Amino acid sequence: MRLERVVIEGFGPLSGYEAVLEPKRLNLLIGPNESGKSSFAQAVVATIFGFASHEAETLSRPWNGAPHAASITFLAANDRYRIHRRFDTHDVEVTRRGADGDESDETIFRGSVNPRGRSAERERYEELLRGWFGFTDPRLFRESVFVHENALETEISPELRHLVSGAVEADYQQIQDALLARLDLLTKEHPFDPRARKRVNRSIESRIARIEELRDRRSRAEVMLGEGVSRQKERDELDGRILELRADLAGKEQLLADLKAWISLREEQRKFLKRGPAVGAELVSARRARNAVEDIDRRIGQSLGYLANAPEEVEPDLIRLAMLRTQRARHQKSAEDERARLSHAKPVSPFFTFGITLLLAAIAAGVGYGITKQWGLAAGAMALGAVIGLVVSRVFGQSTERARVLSEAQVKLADENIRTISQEIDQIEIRVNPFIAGRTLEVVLADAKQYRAAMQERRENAAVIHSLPTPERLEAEAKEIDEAVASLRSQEKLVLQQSPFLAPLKEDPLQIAEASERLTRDVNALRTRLDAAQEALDAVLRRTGGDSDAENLESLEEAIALEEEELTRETKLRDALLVALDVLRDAVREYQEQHVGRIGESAGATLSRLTAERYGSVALDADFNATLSMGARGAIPIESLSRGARDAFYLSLRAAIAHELAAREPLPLLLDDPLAHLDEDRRGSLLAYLEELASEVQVIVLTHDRRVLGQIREAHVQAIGVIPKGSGDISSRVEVKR
Amino acid sequence: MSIRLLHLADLHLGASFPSLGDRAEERARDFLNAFLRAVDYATGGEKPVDAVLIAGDLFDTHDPDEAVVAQVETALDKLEHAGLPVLIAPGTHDAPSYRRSVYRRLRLPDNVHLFLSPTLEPGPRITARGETAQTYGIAYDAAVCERPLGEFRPSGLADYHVGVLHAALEDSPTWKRRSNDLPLNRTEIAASGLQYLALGHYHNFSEVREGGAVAVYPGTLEGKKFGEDGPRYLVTAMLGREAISIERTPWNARTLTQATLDFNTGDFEDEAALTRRIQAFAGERDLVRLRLEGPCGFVFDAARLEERLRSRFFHLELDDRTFVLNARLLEQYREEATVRGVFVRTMIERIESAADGPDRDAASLALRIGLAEFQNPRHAS
Repeated sequence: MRLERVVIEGFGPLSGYEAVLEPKRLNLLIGPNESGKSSFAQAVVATIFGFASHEAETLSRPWNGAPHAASITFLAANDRYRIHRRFDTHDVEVTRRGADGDESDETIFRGSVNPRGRSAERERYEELLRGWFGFTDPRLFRESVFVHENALETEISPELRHLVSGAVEADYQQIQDALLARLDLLTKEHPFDPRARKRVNRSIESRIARIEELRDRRSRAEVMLGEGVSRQKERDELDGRILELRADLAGKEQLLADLKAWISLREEQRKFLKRGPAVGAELVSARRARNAVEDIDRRIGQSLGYLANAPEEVEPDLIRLAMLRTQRARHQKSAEDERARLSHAKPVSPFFTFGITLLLAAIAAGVGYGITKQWGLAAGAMALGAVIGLVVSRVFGQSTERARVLSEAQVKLADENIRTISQEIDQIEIRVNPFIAGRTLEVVLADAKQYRAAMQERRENAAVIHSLPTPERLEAEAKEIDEAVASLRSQEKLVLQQSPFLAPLKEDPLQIAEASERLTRDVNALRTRLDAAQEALDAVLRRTGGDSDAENLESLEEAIALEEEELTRETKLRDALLVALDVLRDAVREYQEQHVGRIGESAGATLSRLTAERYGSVALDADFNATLSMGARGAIPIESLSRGARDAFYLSLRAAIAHELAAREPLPLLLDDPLAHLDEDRRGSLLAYLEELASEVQVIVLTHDRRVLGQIREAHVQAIGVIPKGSGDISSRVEVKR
Repeated sequence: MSIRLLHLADLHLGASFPSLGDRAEERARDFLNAFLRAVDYATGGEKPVDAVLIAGDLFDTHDPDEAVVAQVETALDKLEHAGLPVLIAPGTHDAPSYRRSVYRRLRLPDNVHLFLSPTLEPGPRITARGETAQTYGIAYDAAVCERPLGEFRPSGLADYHVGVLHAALEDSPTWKRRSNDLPLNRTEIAASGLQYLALGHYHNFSEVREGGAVAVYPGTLEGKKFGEDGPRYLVTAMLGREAISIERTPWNARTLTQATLDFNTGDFEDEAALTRRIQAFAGERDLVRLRLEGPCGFVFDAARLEERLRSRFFHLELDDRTFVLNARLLEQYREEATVRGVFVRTMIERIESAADGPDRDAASLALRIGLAEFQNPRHAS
């Protein structure tokens, strides 16, 4: 693509500006600051691609109210095209003109192309763009061949990597990642790195496992169905045997049960029959006790009724009363005796005293004379006898007096006792008099005793009555027993009818025990055989998959078919992904070998020229990370270069890329003031290089730096914007040739 | 003078349709209704048929839902009330060899005869208008029966001999016997001595006349899966002294359709045109599977398109195999000095050098996939 003419009707500061550009020569557009150089560059890009944002569009509106529009005429693939765009309406018209000489216009597109909207017109227009440039995104244009003011270093942006990848929105690395991600859903294997194999099964592995499992299930079902038939006979036999054994067992168990039932029936009967006489005896006791109670009640009612309300103490009271009365009588009698004795007792007379004294004196004198024959002594003895006589009579008189006093005291005591006893007797009599009521105490006491005995007897009988059911109840029970026995007898009859073998046993315990043991033995034997048969059946069932059913073969077939279909699809996709990844890797390698190397070489050559061979070769990796080498110093990182050297490097790189991309459709290299940071020598080298490059790629340089005019050999020079006065010999369009 | 037989097979009652999503139950009802309508037809009006033959796969599985079994029992009762003999031969799906086989619990009225023998054995005689047909039937059992018609000879005297079999006719070079199939071939049919073979197993109608015998697959009453496309028929066989004639009545409530939209020949300039073309197939009674093939000049998302149009169909499947690229663009790409350029060039070389077959298919698909990723706006950084 080579620009021939740019006509700006209105764009920022520019209006009615027309630039004619040389396709194969260095184009220099010179203007001072703010003369509209950047606007010119932007207008070129915007005319082709439109504005990506409304804001950018607004900012670029013409200052003087001219129509917001521009047109460019360019050569592409031997055809000449003109694009006219109105920025406010997005109306675009594309006309094709014949190549040199042919002036007939043909409108090949007309429509509204707003890059911010989606429309069929826009798609058609983008088709045209792709035909001219290979892309539709202005960013790519900017990143490669359009260098903004002081923006040489716009580095190797992702967009540029996208551009060399060929994808609009991605670089090959992302594309490879996307393919790998898709592959990762399908399989755990890694295409390039066996160590990166995942541990968890992915779709394909899971599906293979599932198919395996389904096939297993199918063969299990087939085995089950096959065996089900071949084992059916065995099963049926066992089933039959089990049924037989069950019937046998049931029979024997019935017999055993009958025997036990019979025994228990007999047992119950016996119990009832034993209870019969007991009930009779109880009935007699109960009746007797009841009669006795009635008799006692009658007796009491007849003669002892008056004691019915007597309290418990009456009897002791009566006994005590009798005792007290006896005591009182005794006391009265002894008092009377003492009194009588008192009335007869007399004091000791003096004569009695004298007589005794005389007597004793005489006796003593007589005794004394008799013994001694002396009168003196007899007289002494007589005196002594008299004294003794006197003493004796005196002692005698005193004891008589004492006896009298004693008797009087005894009378007094007896009286006192009589009074006390009488008082108690009175108290007791108050309590017992209602019951005595004219009866003698002895009679009442006897009655009380009799009453107590009767009550005791009554209580005993009542206890008997209480301990036994009522006679009526007992009568009913006796009747029930009779009935129960009758019922048991009839049941027994039934059992005997049912199991006639019981009858001959005749209640002989020995025979019964034998029969019971025999039956139990039989039952156990049958149970063992039944268990064995059941176990054999279980074994058969286990072998044939038990009672569980085979899965439906057709359903399994369908499931397997479905899984296999999916597996085939996924395997195909996996294979395709592997091929795509493989080819992509090869393509990257090839691209690196073929293109990147060449770009590096080309950039290196340029750089070497621009820096007067200061920097030698440029090595690029696939991501355009560059390494410079400087003679013997070896590799130098770009960051360590001076700004000017960096600018030179990036310009070299851009020129190389533009050149490389131009192999298909040359794009113009549009440089907006790229020279600011270069010294004079380098600027000269750069300009010389650009002049040379212009024979392959159209080069348009916008600059404010008039000094370049002195450094160029051959260029198409044009002024842009307002040229200040006295600025030299540049007319609006200048050809410079040396 | 003829005996008329209603010949049913492959009713697949109780089938589930997981791929139909929320319409699966409705579709299962279609199947049941098709059968019930057939019973209504047989029991209705002026006795249109003399017997009903069911040649296997009455049920979709050996142990179907109780509700379905109950419906079938009611239908069989109805046929009994109408005095119609019913002969059922189990199929592969509802084989009686399963322990929980539905035929062990299905309550059969007196008029219904169920063939349970693993060899072809005589069943009841059908008598109508002075003519008799002796029936024979079989329940397949792989362990017992190798070829059902191998040793078979009709027994007894009857005007017609009729076999009811769920069997696979070996009638094409690609025929592959599965272990569950009951095989028979044309020679056996011709030599069988049977006048009419009421067959079941294959889901599309077909009629084979061989040596005086007529063997018929009636097919399903409703299409079960794609491949059972177009009309389904209720089949009645008229056994006459001169000839045996088959009468078919379209019976399906819904229709399965498969078609291919080829972008090479079809004129689909954009998605709207494609949508219009797809909508031409639309209908509430239609289950449609469309295969989209060939190079496509515009980008569209088949899954979204299917989602959008689904409501206009009973069921819609789009199988997108289009090549989302046009040839001119491909030419342009291969010239590029980009990774994509090398990729496309290498890929085209691979495709061209590969022999027809899986390698070439893989390479073609790889080109599509790779380019789709190159164009995929999701990778925007």
